[in-house]
Amino acid sequence: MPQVELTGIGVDYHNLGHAVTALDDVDITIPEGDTLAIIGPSGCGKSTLLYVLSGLIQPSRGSIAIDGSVLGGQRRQTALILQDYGLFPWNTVFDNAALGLRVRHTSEEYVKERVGVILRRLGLWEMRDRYPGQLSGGQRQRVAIARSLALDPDLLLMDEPFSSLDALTREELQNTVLDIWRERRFNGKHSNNRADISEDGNLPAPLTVILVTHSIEEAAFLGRRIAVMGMNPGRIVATVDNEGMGDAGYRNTPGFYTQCSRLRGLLKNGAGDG
Amino acid sequence: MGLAMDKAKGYIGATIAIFVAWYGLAFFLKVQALPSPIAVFADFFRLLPGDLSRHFAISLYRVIVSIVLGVLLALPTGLILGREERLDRFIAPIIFILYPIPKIVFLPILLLLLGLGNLSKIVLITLIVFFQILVTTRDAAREIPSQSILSMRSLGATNWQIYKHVVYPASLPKMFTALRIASGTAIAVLFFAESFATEEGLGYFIMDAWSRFNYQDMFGGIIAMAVMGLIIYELLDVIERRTCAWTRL
Repeated sequence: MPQVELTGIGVDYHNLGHAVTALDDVDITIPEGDTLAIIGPSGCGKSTLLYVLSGLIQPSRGSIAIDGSVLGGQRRQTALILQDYGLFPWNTVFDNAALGLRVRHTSEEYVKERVGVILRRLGLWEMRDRYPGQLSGGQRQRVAIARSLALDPDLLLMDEPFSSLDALTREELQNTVLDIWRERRFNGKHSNNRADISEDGNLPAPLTVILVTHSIEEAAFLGRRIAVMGMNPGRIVATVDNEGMGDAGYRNTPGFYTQCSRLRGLLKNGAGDG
Repeated sequence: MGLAMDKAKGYIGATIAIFVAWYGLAFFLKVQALPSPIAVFADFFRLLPGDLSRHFAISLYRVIVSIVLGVLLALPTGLILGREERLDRFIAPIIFILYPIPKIVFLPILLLLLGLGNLSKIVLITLIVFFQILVTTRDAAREIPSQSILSMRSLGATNWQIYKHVVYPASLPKMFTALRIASGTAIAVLFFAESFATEEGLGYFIMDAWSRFNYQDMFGGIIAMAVMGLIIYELLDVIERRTCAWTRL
């Protein structure tokens, strides 16, 4: 049950002998089972922030606590979805989705069952023997989601997962993510859905979702909280509550449009500061 | 099985085309050094049950053993050098100094050290295959996007698992391309190596026929060499189809 707390996070890296500050003084707290969208211009360090959260990059300053304990490296229940390159063209859909479990030496019996359930849930079962090269962009990102969910994560990190998709496919996948988050948020009210049942057969803990995006609409649709980032150095310039999200119909409400134009303004201000 | 049939048809068609062109050329040139293909094929099938198939088998054995050894040594080395920058910094200069040297210049020393038998030939051809596969797989491993590695690490993969699931499969198609080119060079060098101080192999068979001015036998040996090249090429094709299915969608 992760509550995620970032305190004073800073990341420096060296480029041609100069120290560059990619992130500075980032403080955020994400309650358990919440969603956070991080939005900002290209190069503001939002992907770096996500890698810090995943434990792949150690921050130069500050600390991260997940679930009350300090993050020292990678965490088993954290899953990361990248924009590209996450799927391997030499693996079939099934093998791609199973990769995380196999890397963890899970029994093949469980892999078959678990991946089967997830692929059916995401409408990919019929395509299990195909290769990524035979899928559409949307289907490929579904496989990436399947791989993450197979690991039964309680923290899902996504780095611009849908930015290379066309508008309608992107919305469809956003709805999928929203559905998955909602199902688990209410602790398996849709428990006839077997994708919801975790390894030990218990209902899964709520899923905390952190998403990095440069799309204002995506941030407003998926983020219950939205962090707006500015550049030079990368930092959070505003945090916005977005309690209205949580329904696929939210996209068509006046509240959604108001939220989007508010975010647009904040982004412009943030860019102006740098 | 339609694919295999199409391929067989292609090869039959090509054989007929070469046969006709050869026949025409031999007919107009009327020189001893280019006998008519009819005579050559008759001779080829006469020699095949005896001497020729023995030389053929020895040459094929030498090439295949060399290719297998070359790949077994070069593939892991290339992948590791491509990924481990520190190691590469020391080893890469050595490779790039040795790579352009035509390996055939090592034949005298190999003959001296390893004798006139199979071993000296196999080591020579292994060297050729080794360097071509090494350079290609090293480059292929270097070009793997860092995001692919990151994605594996985010799943909690160990270094060994990253090699097994990403580095090796990502480099495999390029390895096969290099191997196809290397196998052509390997056969050419084998021919050269077999024409020195040996009495076995197609190289010997061809040079021996030449020295006796028996051009029909010589061309019979050339046909056997072409068949050998074709067998190796097709073998590589079958193995690649099995191991790199995703590249042929």
